[in-house]
Amino acid sequence: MPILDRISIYYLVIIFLLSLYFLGTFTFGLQKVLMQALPAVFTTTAAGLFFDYLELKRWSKPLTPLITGLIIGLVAQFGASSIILAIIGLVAMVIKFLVKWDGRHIFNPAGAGLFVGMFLGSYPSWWVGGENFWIYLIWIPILLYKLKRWTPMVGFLAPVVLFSGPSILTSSSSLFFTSVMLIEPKTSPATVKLGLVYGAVVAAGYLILGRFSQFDPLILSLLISNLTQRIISRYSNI
Amino acid sequence: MSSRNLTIGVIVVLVILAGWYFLQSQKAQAPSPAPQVTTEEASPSTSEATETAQMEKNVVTISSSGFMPQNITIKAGDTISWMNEDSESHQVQSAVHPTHQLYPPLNTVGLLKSGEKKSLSFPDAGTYKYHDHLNPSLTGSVTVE
Repeated sequence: MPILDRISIYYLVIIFLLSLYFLGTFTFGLQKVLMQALPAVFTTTAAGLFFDYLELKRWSKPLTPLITGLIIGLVAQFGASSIILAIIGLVAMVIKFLVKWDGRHIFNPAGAGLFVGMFLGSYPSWWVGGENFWIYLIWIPILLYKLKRWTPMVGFLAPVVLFSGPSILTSSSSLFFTSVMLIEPKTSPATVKLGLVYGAVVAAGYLILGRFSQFDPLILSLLISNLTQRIISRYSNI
Repeated sequence: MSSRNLTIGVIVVLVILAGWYFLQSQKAQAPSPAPQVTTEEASPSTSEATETAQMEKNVVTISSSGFMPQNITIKAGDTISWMNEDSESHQVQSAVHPTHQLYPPLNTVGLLKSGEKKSLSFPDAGTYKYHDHLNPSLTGSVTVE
């Protein structure tokens, strides 16, 4: 598809995330949606610019920090205070730039920020712009065409559908998680086998942690799997 | 056995164990028979007046501090109404947050704007947990006898 070939995956993700905010304005109003997005976007972008400059000694487009901020706004507790949202954004970028292994960050930045946010009393609501199942029917094929990272999605969804039923396939929250956070290029594996293992570890974590953990099972299992897949890829030949 | 095969084997076993644990704990919580989606229309054997009176009795109000009553007990076939008395929107969804898979019919209640009221009937005995999707710390449950 020539049009998709000309647009980078980063811009496509940004367009998709902004579309979710736009759809959210119909249900929640423009003011509340902006108040949900701006604090995290501001801190992730500013911190991303700062840390990038420290590392690279030059200014760069803060596309990934912008994406992190937009994700945080869509997942964090709806109506959380601006200060909390800003802190979550800042923590996400600090963890991204400081917690590294072999020169690459280990944890999904938005997930790490949201995890710390739970200690501040902000439990992720996964409002993701409202229940807009249809938009994922457009987004997921585009994502798979551009990124070709289908194995983590299959590795996660197959066991969850098998053991807890197909209703997860119609949940906007889980579709957002699967098609945005789970396949983040820097913290998910690119190979087929490790991608399936990575997805399966997230699924196992979700199925177990959802039963007794006080923390959000998707966020926690994502972070555990981020680390697990790095250990496996470092010490095994999968 | 190579380390690769061993790792894959361990992961497969872990997923199967996790799934087995999930199914076992669901069996312990899930009502029998299996839950069904129901409408709010009165059953043929119930008069409209009785239905209205019963719905007025089984009302859960929603405010910024949560659901009131937080836990409500009804009889099989009864209907519960959720009334949003807060100035903000709330979204009633089945446990477990955020995937809402335990009792999908509860997800049909969904978003309630300020002043809005929605109802759902519960045909089968069991305990059904729910929460406010926009503020998951607000939780409630319906026990159907």
